Order: sequence, then C-alpha cells, then structure tokens
Amino acid sequence: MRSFNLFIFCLVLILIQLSVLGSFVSPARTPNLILVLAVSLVVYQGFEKYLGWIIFSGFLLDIGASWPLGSTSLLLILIALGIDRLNAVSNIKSRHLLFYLSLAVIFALSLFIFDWASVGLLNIERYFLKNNQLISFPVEINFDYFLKSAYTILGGFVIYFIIRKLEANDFPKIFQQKTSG
Amino acid sequence: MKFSLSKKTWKFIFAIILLIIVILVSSRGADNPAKGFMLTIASPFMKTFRIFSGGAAGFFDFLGSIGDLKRENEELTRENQGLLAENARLKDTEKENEILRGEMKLAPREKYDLEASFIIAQDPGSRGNRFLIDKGKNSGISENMPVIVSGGILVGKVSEVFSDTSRISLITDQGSAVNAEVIDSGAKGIAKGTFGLSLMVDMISQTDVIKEGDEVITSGLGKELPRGLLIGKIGKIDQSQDKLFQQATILNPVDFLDLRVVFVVKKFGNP
Repeated sequence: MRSFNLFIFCLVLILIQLSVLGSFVSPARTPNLILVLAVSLVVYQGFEKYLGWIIFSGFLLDIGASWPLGSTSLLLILIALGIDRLNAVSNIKSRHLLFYLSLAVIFALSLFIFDWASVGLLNIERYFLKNNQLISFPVEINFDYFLKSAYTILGGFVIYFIIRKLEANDFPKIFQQKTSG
Repeated sequence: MKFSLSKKTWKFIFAIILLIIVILVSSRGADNPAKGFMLTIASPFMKTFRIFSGGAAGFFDFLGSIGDLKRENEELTRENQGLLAENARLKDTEKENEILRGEMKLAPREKYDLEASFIIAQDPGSRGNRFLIDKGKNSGISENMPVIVSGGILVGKVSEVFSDTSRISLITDQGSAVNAEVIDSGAKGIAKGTFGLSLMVDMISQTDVIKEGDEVITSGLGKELPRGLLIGKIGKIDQSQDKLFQQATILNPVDFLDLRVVFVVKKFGNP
C-alpha cells in the first residue's frame, strides 16, 4: 500500500510540475518538485531503498521534456548518490532546526547542480548529434533564481513531510480506512 | 589484493550503465514509442490539471486586478473607438482589394485550415519556450506547422509530433528563426529568439529604413510559413556586431506565459 501511495504521489507531482505550476509562476521561477522528491527520498531513508523510485520519477519528467529519455534519472541518481554520502545529514535528524537548515541547503545546492548539469548534458548530446546550436545560457544567479530556489526549498519541505507520513503509513488515513475494509 | 565493491555501489553502477544505454538508444520525436505511449495516457490528465489550474490562476489574477479594472476599461473604450474607425477604413480597403483582385484575375487569398489545441503542459527544460498541446498526428498535425493565436499572430512552430500530442517551440526559443518583413518599408530580415522570452529581427540591410513601432510580419520566403502572420512591432533599433546589418528587438503582442489555446495552421496558401 505504501508503494501504491508513493506511486500516486509521484504521478500527482509530475502533473503539478508539468501542467499546473506554469499557470502560477513564470518559467524562470518554477520550482523543481521532482528533484526535491528524489532528494527527500534519499535524505529520509537512503539512496539504495529508493533507487527504483528515483529512476521512475526521472522517467516521468522526461516524458514531458524535449531531452532524451533517461537524462533526468541519470542526473537525479548522481545527485542522490552525492547526498547519500553526506552521512552527517542522517546524524543530525534529531536536532530539528539544524536538520531542516541542512535540508534547505541540500535542496538549493541540488537545484543548482541539477540546472548546470542538465545544460551540460544537453550540450554533450547536441555535440554528438553535430548540432551547432549549443545552449549558451548559463544558470544566472538573479532574483528569479533566488525565488526559484526559495520555492523549491518550500516545496521540498512539504514533499519531505508527505513522504515521512506516507512511509510511516499514517497518511492519508481516510484512504487507508476505506481500502483496509 | 582482493578488490570488492559493495552491493550499493554495484546497484549504482548498474543503474548508471542502464540509463546511459537508454539515453543512447532513445530517439526523439514521434519515433520514440515510450514517450508517445506515455503522453497518450497522460494527455487527458494533463489537460484537466492545466484547465483547472488555469481557471484558478485566472480567478486569483482577477481578484488582484479589481482595482485596475476601471482604468483599463476607460483605456479599452478609447481603443475600441479607434478600432471601430480603423475597421470601417479596412472594410473599405477590403472591398477595393476584392475588386482589384478580380480585375487582375488573381486567385482569392486562401483561408487557413486551423486546428484549435489546448496547451496541456510546459516543457520543464525549456524556460517557458516549449509547450505540449493536446493534438497530434491523429489530428493531421505534422512537424514545422506554424502555430498562431488571435487569427494571425505567430507564436511558434510544431517541433515534435506524437500520436495525440505535439510539442510546440515558441518563436522566442533559442534557435528559432523565421523569415520576416517590415510592413512599412518592405525590409527583409530574420526574426529569431534570444535569451529568455524575447525576440529580435536581424540581417536587415543598412539601406532599409525601419523605425520603432513598425509592424513585422512573416515574409513567406521558404514556404514554411504563410506570408502575413504578425510577429510583432519594432522596438529598439541597433547595429549588428559587424556593422553590416541593422537589428532590432521585436515587441510581440502575445503574453506567452498566458497562452491557453493556440491554433495550428495545417494548410495555407501564399497568394
């Protein structure tokens, strides 16, 4: 049941990322919910347990994107492994404020790495396809990017909270009562 | 010396190799069966989510803009009066044009065969320059078809087609290039997307006279796009880096962030 809830949660997040956020925030400020989902999963219980889910959510995002299938999953796995190595994060889970501060830093840092790496990956692909139109824009650190990071961190906290509840199997209670009966 | 890797490392290596293989073998566009299949399934959900979110966003915008409505209403009334006068003049010109075309035995201008489509999703890696629409190959859409709004304002082209969805690239997309013409002077150039959601017209000869506010349309050269689609109005004029050509920013009347419905031009005929 936990897997099913997580599956539905991934699908809803993808739909929100692709179809909903664009109506409310400009593209330069759109948070990356799939990235924070992957990061939250790894921070919550480690890289190994959620490897399949990280690949799955990456694939879902690739469906709506113009880059090759598998690109997002690859980037997510690399970032997830990096976070997994930060054992310190798991050691400070008990100290709430410090933990959430670290989580915010990790979300922001992951976003920055993801954005740079995705431009790099696309340019590598274009180079091999002999496409001269390499993407020249850098990830600009401006007010828009600050807001994007802030929204991503905010979204990350919400997603982390939901994952904790889903994994503790006490959310959503109404749904569980209906299905268990 | 025994060299061994942990189970976790093996999983990681296996996943990386698998994903690199998937990336290498996965093709783009309609040839990609996985993307096409998943988009067919997801398309109705995307459309529903987009419509509801668009409605909610519109409601919040409305609440926030109540104070501006009175001023906007006055401006629109003034603009409407001007447009009524212009409409009357254009009707007269249209009649005259019909008579002249008849005299000169020219074929009447063909109307566009349009396919109305909803925007259902935004390409996450495109910074707002690419969208998914809810019509695809099954509705007769193919690559490079022009995409317009409001009966004749060019917004982009179809860049990828799946069975029930398509991806459109806006004219503001980096790499987008459209043959353009300035109506007043007849100056020809290339309208291309620049960084972000802006547009510019380049390669205008130094001998051509262009000024701010001139309208820029598609020239119809290359036969990919019909002639006469509005691209925008000339903004700031500048020289190209090598000083051989003039270039200018284009102010497009469309709010690309607020696009809900677009029209794909399936068939057209340049006069």
